[in-house]
Amino acid sequence: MKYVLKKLVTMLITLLCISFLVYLAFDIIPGDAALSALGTDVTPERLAAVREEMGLNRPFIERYADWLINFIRGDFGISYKYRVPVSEMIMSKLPVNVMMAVTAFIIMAAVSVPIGIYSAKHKGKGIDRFIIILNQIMMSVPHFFMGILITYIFGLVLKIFTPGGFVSYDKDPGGFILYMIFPCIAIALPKIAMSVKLLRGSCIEEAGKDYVRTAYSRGNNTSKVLYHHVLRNAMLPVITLWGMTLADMMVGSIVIEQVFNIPGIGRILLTSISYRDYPVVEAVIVLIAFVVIVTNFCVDIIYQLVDPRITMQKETLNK
Amino acid sequence: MDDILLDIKNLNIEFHDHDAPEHVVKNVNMVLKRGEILGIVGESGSGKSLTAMAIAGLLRRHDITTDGRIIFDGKELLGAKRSELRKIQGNDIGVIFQEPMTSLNPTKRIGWQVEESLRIHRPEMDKAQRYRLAVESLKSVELDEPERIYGKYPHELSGGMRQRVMIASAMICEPKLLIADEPTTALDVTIQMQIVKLLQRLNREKKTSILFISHDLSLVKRLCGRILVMHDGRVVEEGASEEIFTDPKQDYTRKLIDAIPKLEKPEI
Repeated sequence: MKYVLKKLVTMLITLLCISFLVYLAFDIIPGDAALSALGTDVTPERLAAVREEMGLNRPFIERYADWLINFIRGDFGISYKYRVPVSEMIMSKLPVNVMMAVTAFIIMAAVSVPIGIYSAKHKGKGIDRFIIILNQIMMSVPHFFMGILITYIFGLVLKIFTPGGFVSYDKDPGGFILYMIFPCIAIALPKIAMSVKLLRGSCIEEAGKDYVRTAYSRGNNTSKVLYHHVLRNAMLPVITLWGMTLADMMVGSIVIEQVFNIPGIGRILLTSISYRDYPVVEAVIVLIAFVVIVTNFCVDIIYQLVDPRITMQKETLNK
Repeated sequence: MDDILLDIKNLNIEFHDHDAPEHVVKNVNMVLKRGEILGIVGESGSGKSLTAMAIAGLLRRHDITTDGRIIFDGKELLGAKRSELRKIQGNDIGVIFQEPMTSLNPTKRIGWQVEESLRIHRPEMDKAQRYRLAVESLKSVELDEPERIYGKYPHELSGGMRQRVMIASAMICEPKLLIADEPTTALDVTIQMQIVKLLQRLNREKKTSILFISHDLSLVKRLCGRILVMHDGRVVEEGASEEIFTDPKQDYTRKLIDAIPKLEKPEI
């Protein structure tokens, strides 16, 4: 419990640092929000007035503090460009990204574990070699290209979905799922390849360990050794990878959003950066950081549940 | 009932994991009587551990070939099907290994691991019965507070304690044969003696035959009635403990005996 509390405090401090750095970065980099909102042919008087109105003349720390307090309250500010609350903008797109990440994650976990185990079990045989080669290909093909291939095959040749015909989840949930399944597969494929490779390797490594011999000496058959002994230990590195992958899937699907024409967080981020719509950029970046940190936090907790040695090590370090 | 528990005839073991096959155990013959403690000594690479693993059925099958006969309790083990072998492993033959630090699964509780053979070989038992037997077994290897140890993880125990746990787990089905493959090598000297005494007591009380493999002659001398000396894959000498120590027939045995560090009075 103490461990969890400590982790929570660390998490908050990290978030605070990130928000500060983000705010600072946008203050330092050249470019003026007032100027980009008004256009270049504005009179200096008008510009000064707008700057005053936007609060850009106040000292940095004061602005940051204001922003932070509002941010914690859930008020992320108003978009310079669209003149709507940033929280509204993000909240309307967030479900799409969360759905996409969760689905891709589930596909990845459900597919990679059986394949990884199967491949490790048949190490060196033809089927294992085939899986390794397929894995290499999947890993080296970028997911946007995979997205293009999927669009071509399933969209244009097989006509299972309409490319670019994104259906919103609140209008047609069935159509939404049918449309989203393909980008999710595109995101999941390289990650499946990575987890299969990692799980296969760690299964083979664990299978050579002494405790496995002990397990056999008690009369266990191969599958009992695998499921009761090897798998749990072999999953440890995979869990770490999955934690990073989940965070990555939540926020890193910008390219896939473009390929499949999905209005998500990634698109907001791209447009707001080009319009110097700082309140939006800042909110999205802090949100991304938040997702990454929370996911890592969850992975740490899960890790501890799976591997009893973790707490012990933490405690010894503290002494 | 036959008083011979284990009869090994012309055992040969060959490795095929390199280009040239490697003949590592050559025409080994040995007999282990019921209730006996037999020691196998020899330096590393002498084939003693491989012989033991062959008896326990723990050799890999794809790149090792074996030849000869291992007759355990009237059953031939070398040619036996894996499923037949598994009925014996953990039930009639228990094994403890050299490395207590790594021989237990780090992510499973001690109790679960000690009980494992029961779950496999005594499926009729319920949870409470298994718990009772596991705690009893932990107690019989002289672990304090066995109920507490039951719920612990391997990393929370010392090496000596873990080796006791290994013994408790190997003994839980009351096997006819306990194979101890260098069980004390990784432990410090005082713990070594405790483990040897524990094995002696288990042998006396449960009538378990023990095959004790070690390169440490002084330990073997204390524990075993009969000793087999192996060198380069062959049995070079065999006999009663005292006989081998007082009158070794082979140069190699004499060298091994000379290698035992002696406590001599310092000259003042």
